[in-house]
Amino acid sequence: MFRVLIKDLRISPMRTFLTGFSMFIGILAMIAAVLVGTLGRESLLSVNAQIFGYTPTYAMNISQMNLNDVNKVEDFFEIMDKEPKAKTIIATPKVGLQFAPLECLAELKEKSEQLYKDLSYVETICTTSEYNRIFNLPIYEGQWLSDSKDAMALEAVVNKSAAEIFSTSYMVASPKDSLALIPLNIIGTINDGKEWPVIYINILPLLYRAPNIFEMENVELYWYNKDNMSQNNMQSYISDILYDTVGGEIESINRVDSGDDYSSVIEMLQLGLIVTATLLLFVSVLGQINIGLSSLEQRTHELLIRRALGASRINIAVLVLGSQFILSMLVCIIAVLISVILVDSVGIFLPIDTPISIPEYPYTATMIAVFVSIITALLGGIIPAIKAAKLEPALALR
Amino acid sequence: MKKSIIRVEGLTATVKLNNGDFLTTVNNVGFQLLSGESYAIVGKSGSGKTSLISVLGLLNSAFQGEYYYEGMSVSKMSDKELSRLRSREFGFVFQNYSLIEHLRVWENIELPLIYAKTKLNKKHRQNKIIKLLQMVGLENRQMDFPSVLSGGEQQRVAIARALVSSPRILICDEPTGALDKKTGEYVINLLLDLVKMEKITLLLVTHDPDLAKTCNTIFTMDEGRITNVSCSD
Repeated sequence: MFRVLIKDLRISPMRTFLTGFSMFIGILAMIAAVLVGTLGRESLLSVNAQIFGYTPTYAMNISQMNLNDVNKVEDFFEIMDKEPKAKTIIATPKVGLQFAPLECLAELKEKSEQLYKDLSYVETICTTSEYNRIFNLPIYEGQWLSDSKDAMALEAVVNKSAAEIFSTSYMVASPKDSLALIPLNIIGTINDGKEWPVIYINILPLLYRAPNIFEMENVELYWYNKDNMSQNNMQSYISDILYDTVGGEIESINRVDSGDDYSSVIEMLQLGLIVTATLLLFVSVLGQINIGLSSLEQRTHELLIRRALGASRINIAVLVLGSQFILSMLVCIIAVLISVILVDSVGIFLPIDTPISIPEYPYTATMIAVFVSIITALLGGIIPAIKAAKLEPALALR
Repeated sequence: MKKSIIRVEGLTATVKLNNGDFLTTVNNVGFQLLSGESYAIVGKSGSGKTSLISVLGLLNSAFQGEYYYEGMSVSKMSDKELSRLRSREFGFVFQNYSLIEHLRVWENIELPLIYAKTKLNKKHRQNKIIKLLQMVGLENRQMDFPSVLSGGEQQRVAIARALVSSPRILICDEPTGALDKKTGEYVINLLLDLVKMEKITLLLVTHDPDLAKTCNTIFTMDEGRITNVSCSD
């Protein structure tokens, strides 16, 4: 029977191709709709996480924090490092920091005059290694800040725009109106989504090793609240830490990310795509019914001969439907294989420092698409099959 | 004494016309066919010959009256039972050959075996098809498609297909109608030889009186009725 069905598909290669192709488009459209929706969602959330933090991220403005007492600072960061994680501070130095590129540490003495001349203001974010748990910062080159307090870890990471200026292995930092030149090891380049130069400095070694040079004026605490603690609990939790360590008052607490704002837009977008894909599948069914009926007209005489030679109504219906079923199975296998390759190759087309993570293969959507496609193929074949089964074999003699 | 294979009593068949009226194509016909005998049905066009053989060949189950095949009433059989009986017990040779264009010669011949669901394995099937092709003189054309065969060759393939499931009744509707005289004679002689050799009951519809005379019994039809039954010498 299988051989007969395969043979049946070869009667009109163009018809088989067109039927299969319409099914193929339907399945791929369904998978693509889900994938585009997933990628769109991922893209919006990733960019949001790059600039405002993962959803939900809260910022607390803290005043009167004393970062001059090394022991208390140590206690503070020790507790901050405990669960729940993904908390960090961004400290603003009292005086602006200037930077100059440095080829090697030996230049610090040899070319100090030139270094003073090269100093320029660059936006600085003094933070800890936890910062990239809160913000989506894909690494373009090197690595992110370490959590070491060692003086050797006087380190900085630059964004892509700053990397054009600081293409060296080191840089020097100098507070305004100070002759101090603090060498920083440039350990990596990141994509923070900002078009202007930004330098990220590991605050821990600075606070431990040069607290007098880097006096902090304002401290903001960022918390990626993935455990969904209430604002009151968060506030109370941080207040306790501050009270036990460096002191300070929470002035305000705000939600800074805007991930939830996009959710309804993304859901509508995805719904729209799925409705479009469903309509496409519906059109595909109509096309298949049309092809099936016109093919039936062409094959009426053949089917009558088969009836006369002993084919039952069921044999004829199976012949018409079976070939449609086999075709839909073959098309589904091909469509799934191609979609796997396409989804896998998405990563190839994304830049190395993209904030978007490579999407996972949409298994559920694929299974639904395959199921719907086979059902629609059978529905598309059922009207021609019923019509074929009703043919009276007596007509074979006419 | 030869055994009765088909018996019909008061057989009547009608067709619905486009204007909603019914036309009686077979009108109160009764006879019996004996195993191994040959029968010719003659009559002018529209006399009901083809309608009668479509009922006798189980191609049309919409009839009134009684139809017994080997003593079994076929009027209450399901489509599946009729189809099975048709594929195993009946062979058909049509006027226009009725080969399936996209199947090769051997695949066309194999068709009744597929639907008869015979227990023959692949090798036996192949042997049977090759033997039949040898009998009709087309053993070298088994891989050809019907479109490259002449009319006479196509009708020989149709004869091989009709005989492949070893039917007990062979129904031929104007088997030489589309062939020239010489080819027609060759085909009909081949058909009659095979029928005799295989001891098959032959039911032949023809306009040709000489051809009809080659059969044991001749039914003459007019307006759906059998108006005359004659036995040839």
